[in-house]
Amino acid sequence: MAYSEKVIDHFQNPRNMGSLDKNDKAVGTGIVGAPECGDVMKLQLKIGPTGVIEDAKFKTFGCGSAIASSSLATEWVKGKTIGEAMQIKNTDIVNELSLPPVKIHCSVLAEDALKAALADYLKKNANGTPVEENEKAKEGVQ
Amino acid sequence: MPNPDSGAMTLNGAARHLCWSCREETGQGPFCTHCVKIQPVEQMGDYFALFGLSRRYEVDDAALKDKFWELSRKFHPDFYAAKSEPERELARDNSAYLNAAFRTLSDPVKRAEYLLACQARGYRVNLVPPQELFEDILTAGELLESAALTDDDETTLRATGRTFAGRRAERIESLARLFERLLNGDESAQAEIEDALNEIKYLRTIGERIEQRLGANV
Repeated sequence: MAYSEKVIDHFQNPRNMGSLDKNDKAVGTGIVGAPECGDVMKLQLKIGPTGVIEDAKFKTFGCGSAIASSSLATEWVKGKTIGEAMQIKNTDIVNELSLPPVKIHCSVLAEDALKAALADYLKKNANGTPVEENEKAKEGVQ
Repeated sequence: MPNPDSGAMTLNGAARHLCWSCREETGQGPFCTHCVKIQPVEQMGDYFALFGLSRRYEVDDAALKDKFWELSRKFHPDFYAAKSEPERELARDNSAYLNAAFRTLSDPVKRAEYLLACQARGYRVNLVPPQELFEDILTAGELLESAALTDDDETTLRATGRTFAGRRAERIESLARLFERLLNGDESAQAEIEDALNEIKYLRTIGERIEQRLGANV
């Protein structure tokens, strides 16, 4: 199976690879996996007090399409609001990367990771503003 | 022995069938007890029944293999070259079915999934298994991505590989006990089986990748 040029580009030059502090209240972390292929994906978002995604990082164990899908997702969400990021669908990733049918599950995984990261952030910040909570977290409340 | 007067569809739990050729009752084996012609083995029941095994998780690997070879010879299409077309077709179909059955029952994961399917339960793929396992996989995955492994990296990777393999073996071993519970009516075992299966699959993939990487580096 041939990978599209965009997949190869993201695979060889992944954007935003790495980690953010998952104990930071301003950071939402999503870790999901697909047992059938054994792929695991971690996507983290750092969200500012106004609800804008300031930074995004990912770590993926999987095939080239899985790495490209998560790399693209982190690139897209930066600068978006939580609401806008929620709108990103796996089909957008499929179209952008020209993923073949057998690799569509990789884009689904990226969407799931993104949703999980947003959900984690919202859960962490259900009460109070992220900044205040963040200060408490630093004092070792959690 | 079949009782023709019973009129029931089943005898000792197994369905009864008429031979496609002589129209007499075939008995429960793969060959008609009346005219000795080959019968479609699908009608013998599930994969376990084909091998004469009871439907449980633990199987005797040696007995399974012996029975597989025995049936392989009996259904081998070469022996049917001079027979009628329906018999040749059945020999091919039975061989394919037998191969699929053996592949399924000889693999601890496929066997577990098949057994769950036989129990007519949905198989739920859990997207969020143990997070700490995911962290371990991602850490090992990062090492696998690096262009060159130092001696220390290799030692770490080897140790991680052993830990993963041990954990996988443990989980596979736990399946027998879990299925015992499930088949005895303990519904709560189902979720535990699914979690174990998912974990085994993740561990298999990362384990294979580590082996590939170290294999190329030795």
